[in-house]
Amino acid sequence: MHKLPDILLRRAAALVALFAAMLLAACTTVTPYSDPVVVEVPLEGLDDLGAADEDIIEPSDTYIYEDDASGLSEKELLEKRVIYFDYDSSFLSELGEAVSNAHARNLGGDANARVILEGHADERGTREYNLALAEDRAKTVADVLQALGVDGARIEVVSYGEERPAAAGSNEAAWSQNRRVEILYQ
Amino acid sequence: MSRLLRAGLFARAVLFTAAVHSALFIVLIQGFSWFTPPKRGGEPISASVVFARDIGDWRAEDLRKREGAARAARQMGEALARQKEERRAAEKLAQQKRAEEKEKKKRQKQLAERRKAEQAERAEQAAREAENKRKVDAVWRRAAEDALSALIGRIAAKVERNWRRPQTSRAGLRATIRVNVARDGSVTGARVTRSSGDPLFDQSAERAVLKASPLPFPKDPQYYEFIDTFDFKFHPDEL
Amino acid sequence: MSAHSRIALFALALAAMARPAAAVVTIDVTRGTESRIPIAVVPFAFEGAGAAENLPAAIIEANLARSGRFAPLAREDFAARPQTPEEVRYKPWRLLKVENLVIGRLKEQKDGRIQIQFRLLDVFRERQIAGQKFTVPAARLRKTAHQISDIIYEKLLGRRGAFDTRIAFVTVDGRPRRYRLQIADADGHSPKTILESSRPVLSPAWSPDGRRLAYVSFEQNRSMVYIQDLWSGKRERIAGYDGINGAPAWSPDGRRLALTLSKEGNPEIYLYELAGGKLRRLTRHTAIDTEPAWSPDGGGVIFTSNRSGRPQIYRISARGGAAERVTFGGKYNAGASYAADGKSLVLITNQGNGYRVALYSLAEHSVRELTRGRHDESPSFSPNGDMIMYASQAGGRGVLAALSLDGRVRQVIRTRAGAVREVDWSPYGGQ
Repeated sequence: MHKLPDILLRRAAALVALFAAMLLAACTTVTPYSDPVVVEVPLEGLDDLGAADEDIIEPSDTYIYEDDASGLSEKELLEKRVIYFDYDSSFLSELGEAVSNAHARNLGGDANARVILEGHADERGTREYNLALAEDRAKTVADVLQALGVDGARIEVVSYGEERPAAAGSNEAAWSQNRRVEILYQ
Repeated sequence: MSRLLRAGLFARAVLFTAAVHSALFIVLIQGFSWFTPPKRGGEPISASVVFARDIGDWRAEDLRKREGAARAARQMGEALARQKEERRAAEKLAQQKRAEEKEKKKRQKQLAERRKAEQAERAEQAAREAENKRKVDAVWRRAAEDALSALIGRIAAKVERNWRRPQTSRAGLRATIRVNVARDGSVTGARVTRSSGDPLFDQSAERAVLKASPLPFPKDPQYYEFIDTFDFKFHPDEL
Repeated sequence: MSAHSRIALFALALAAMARPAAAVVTIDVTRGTESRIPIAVVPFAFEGAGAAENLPAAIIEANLARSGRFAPLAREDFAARPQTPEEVRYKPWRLLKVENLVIGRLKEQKDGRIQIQFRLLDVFRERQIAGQKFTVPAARLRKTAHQISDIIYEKLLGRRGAFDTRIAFVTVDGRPRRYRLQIADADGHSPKTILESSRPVLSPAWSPDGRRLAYVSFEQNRSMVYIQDLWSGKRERIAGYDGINGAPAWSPDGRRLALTLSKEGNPEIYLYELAGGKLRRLTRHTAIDTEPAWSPDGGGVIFTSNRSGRPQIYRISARGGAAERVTFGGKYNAGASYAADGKSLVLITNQGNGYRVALYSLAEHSVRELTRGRHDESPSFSPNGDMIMYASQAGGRGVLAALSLDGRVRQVIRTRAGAVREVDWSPYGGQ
């Protein structure tokens, strides 16, 4: 029960976030084509689009993540709210599984707690495929939670694909931060 | 002996008479011409025997007759001799003529043979010369063909460099452009003589020739005497 | 060898080839080039108060260059600047190897409209290929220049041009981020925002009639599919189910929309009937199935699936049934759409060097990379199939690039502010 204030705090934060989201949603404006917003877009000359100067990083299947769950306390595992994934993969790492399990146990202890699992992908590849891939990641975590007895109705899965990166940059350091599932308590 | 003589004389007379009569008879029958050569040269005149009517009668006037006859015979003999001589001469002439003819023929034959030989020799010579000429010509012709194909190659290469094939062209399109050139190789006229059916393709071909002007033509203006018109056949081989 | 013997050689050669003297020599020409057409677009003269003379010529020139089929002559090399056919002397242009000349004039009318006339001339054949006169409001001058570009393109290439068309794309800028769904001319000019949001917008897709746009918007904090009428601005949410709602693709007849929904557990392809709203599931697989695209005949749908472990393209009949794999090889083949002839696909591939736009030959199962970027995406054919527009990165920012189909000419279309992504080229018409 010592966790309750924490959860309440998070709920409040989630409510604030939701309110802000609704505000932003209301911010969407639709303009008919017949009533144009004119923005000057200069056309520039021929431009060769070669690869950038940065080294090309091959898509990696073998990137080593922090993947050692041993020696982490339940508290330390629960404090981890983000689970990371390999390139083009929705398999849970050992750590990811341990974190998922800890959250499943946590949710099991509070019948009213709800969770949103946000799936994300790195920028590489097509946006729609990444939208599907990110959802698959979130659903993998959801499957673990459900397998450990959490009611599916308490879990919401949302995919943002590559649209909401956690880290900017076109390198493996950023990409590895962006291939993730965020666990948001409601 | 006298009888014998007489008999001899008589026989001679009879023979003579018979001869004269025969001669006359023949002359009467056959006619006579000094100029007619014997029809069958070398063949004996056939004699016929005439029997005396009355030797007693014959005697009296025999002398006269004999004289006349002798004269006649002499004359005849002379005529005969002459005739014979003439015949012989004629015969000789004929013989000579025949020989001459033969000689002539022989000469002609020889001449013909010589001529034939000469002709053969000349033909052989000509053949040899022709063969030589052919060999030389072949070398020249090859060189000439090489030169011409090199020129054609240069011209084709320049036209190909200037031919921008329309991207819509289908395989199997063919167009022919008839092109007239000036002495320096510059194109003075180009027209489509065989259309591909695709106007863009035809235009591209015509334009290619015009763009390639002046064609890489030999500097010497006399080439123009031999080439002043080209048919450019446009048929892409790899589409 | 003396000149004479050379001439003799010629006579001989001609004789040898059994041709009379002064013969017609036949030359076979079998190998042409497919180089770009050298063309000169002379600035149009302007009679009137304004100073619009260069606009149409500059637009036409840029259009032709961008197509990859033309090589416009640099202005400083111009032999002259004729405005009428009488002023044209062909010879200097011939020396410059310019095949075609575009000349024109603009005249301001009493009512303020502008009369624009142009002529397309053949420099070598010395004749006019096309010529036309338009009288338009000044605001339509740009569109008229695109129309003239289309006429030139069709006259010289025998194919319909696609300059007088539009593109739809998404821009992102600012902090907090603003996402704008915009429509612009095919050259990126005159963009107009049709949707602005603080949440991501993606996958714009033109309806075949060019009047509507389907897209995915996160404005409800989840991906949902909308169709927006471009003239009225009226829009309809056609998919807002649980899970993913994405990847809308119009059928060629415009009656159905293929899309990706994960409402039944994992992403599958569905067909949505626009009349009546009936929804039918097309694929059944536990793997990801997404990014549907219709075959030109409307009989089938290709899509991306990772059922083999890696994203590859599969095909399924629009009536359903079993899906068959289309692409093989490569670590990553996704986001495919058909070329107009149905013989090849344009897709995003990763052969180990980055995510690039490639053509995939269906007959040969061969991939030809067209771009050299690291994060190229969202390729879209021009309606005549001659060009591809795609999203790329330049200087760390998202840009659009127009690509000729042979991959030789690429032109970047930048916006002054913000990054550009997710482009779709409009069909003909709809304006």
